[in-house]
Amino acid sequence: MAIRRGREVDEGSFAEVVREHTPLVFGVVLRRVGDRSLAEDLTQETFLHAWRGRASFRGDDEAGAGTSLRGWLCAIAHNVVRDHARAQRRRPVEVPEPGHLDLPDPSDAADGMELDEAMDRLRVALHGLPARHREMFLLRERDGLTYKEIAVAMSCPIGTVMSGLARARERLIAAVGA
Amino acid sequence: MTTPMTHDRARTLGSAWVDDELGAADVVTLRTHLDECAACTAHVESMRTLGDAVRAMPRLRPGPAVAAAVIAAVEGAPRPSARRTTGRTGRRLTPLALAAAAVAAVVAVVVGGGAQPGTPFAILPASAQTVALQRLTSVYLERDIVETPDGDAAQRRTVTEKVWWQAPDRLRLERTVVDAAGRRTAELILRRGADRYDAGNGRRMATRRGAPALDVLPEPLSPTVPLLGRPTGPGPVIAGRPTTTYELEIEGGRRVAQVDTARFVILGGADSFVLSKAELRNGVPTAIRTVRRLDLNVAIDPQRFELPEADEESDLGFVERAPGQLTISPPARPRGLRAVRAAAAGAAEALLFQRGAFPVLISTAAPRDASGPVDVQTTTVRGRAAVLRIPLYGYPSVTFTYERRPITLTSPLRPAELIDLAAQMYFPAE
Repeated sequence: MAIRRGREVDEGSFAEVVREHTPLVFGVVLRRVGDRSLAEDLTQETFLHAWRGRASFRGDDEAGAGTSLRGWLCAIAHNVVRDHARAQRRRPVEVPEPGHLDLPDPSDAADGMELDEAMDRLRVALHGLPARHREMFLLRERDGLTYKEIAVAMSCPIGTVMSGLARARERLIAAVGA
Repeated sequence: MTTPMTHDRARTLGSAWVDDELGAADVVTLRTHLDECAACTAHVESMRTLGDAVRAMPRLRPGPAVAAAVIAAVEGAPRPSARRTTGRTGRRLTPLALAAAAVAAVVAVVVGGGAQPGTPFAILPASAQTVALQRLTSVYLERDIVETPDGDAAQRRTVTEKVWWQAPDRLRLERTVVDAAGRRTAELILRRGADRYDAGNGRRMATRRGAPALDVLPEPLSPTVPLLGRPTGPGPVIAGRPTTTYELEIEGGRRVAQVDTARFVILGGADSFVLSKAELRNGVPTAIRTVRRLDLNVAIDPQRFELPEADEESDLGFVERAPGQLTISPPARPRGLRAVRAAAAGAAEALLFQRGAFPVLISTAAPRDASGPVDVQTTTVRGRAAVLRIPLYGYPSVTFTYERRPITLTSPLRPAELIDLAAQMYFPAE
């Protein structure tokens, strides 16, 4: 869903934004805080912040309409996570690294998920990646973000995204022998 | 002069190509290389396969209530002001976040430690929820209750309730009961002690409004909504927090959940919050309540709360008084606490305070026996002996002596907060 510059975002269109992008935001948050119910809380906070700050969102023009909405939401999510981390500690902290993986734990009975052997190898290989490369890879492959959006979401140049993804894929391919 | 193509560079370009992010000129260069290099071609193919594999993996998803609560808050709440409120947890809580948190607070399953196997369980919500309750102004609730008094199937009856509550103390309850023989009765309750009327002949009941009765606190706000469940063992450590695995009975089915005993779990469908609550007597369920619909901070037509004949005296004999006239008026009022109703019946007195939508009831009448289990503990309020009662299905209370009279303070707070409030009100630090 595109939010165009200068258009008043009403509740209905925002509701669509929420429905469509909750999984993305939840993943971004969960990979940084590791706790599911906390991630749900902070996901809600992210959208509420987005709602409050919707007037300041500069949607893209027609050529790139909608492409930076996801990046914008990810950036808000990072701030929400960082603020939460700060509230837990006295000294200022940066955004926590995306150190967690949002895959169901094989020992997690509640989710009842079972990974076959190949998937399990992939899961282990993902764990082995450096956090930022893994994050880029998941944002790209699972959430479908463009390089530009990933660059915004991770506050780095597009070139870093490009090389990071290439490196992540090399390591994963080597690890699982795909 | 173009950069000479190495396998390394080809793989990097290949990665961008797989993502459709490669410029036209680079695509040409890459494809020229791939036409001649089987290894790089295979690598590119592996990258595509890898993407498919990772997309096929299951991923942890947010519950449907997450998006629903945000949408409800955005669509239902009044426009937020620029001002923010800081909750006790230190997180910034915008009015919308509070509305969403309030949704969570009211429908939360509250679970607690110290449960014995096979028993239901309950603890009190965290402080953030307490703050959230202050922003709650109204509740509309529909629920079904299947009651089996004394576990006797022959006495089973189904009750459908509609509850309207508006801060601070307007409560209206419509109840339709179908007994085991299929007879329908309707009840309209605006306060305790309402008369029943038979829907068949349309006889009008006499309802009473009046000074607060002892249990006037709106039940939909009860923070303890326990589920019937059994702890089955330790759960995994999640984000450093130990959990216990519980097997819960939800709407006749079973569900396993990992419970952090300091947090709460929200259960629900996409558009409504469905919760089952069971009351037990000697381990046997005697009533199962299922919430069908729950709307918060909705506009409620004030006409709903109008009564044809107002009665000054409540069914318990309390008569309205000015708050200042009561002897149990606290000497100190914590900030934001507002006296709403006050009444007396002989030597017994009752005061209803409000902090936002947050009720605090103070009374001198002896606490009623709550139905269901009650945890009774001795404690102190500023060094004075006190008794803490935490019923499973009601609000906790603390009873202490003030100027030679026993006073009971009842409110949906954690024990420590309750005691702290009592101390602030009656024994303010010099």
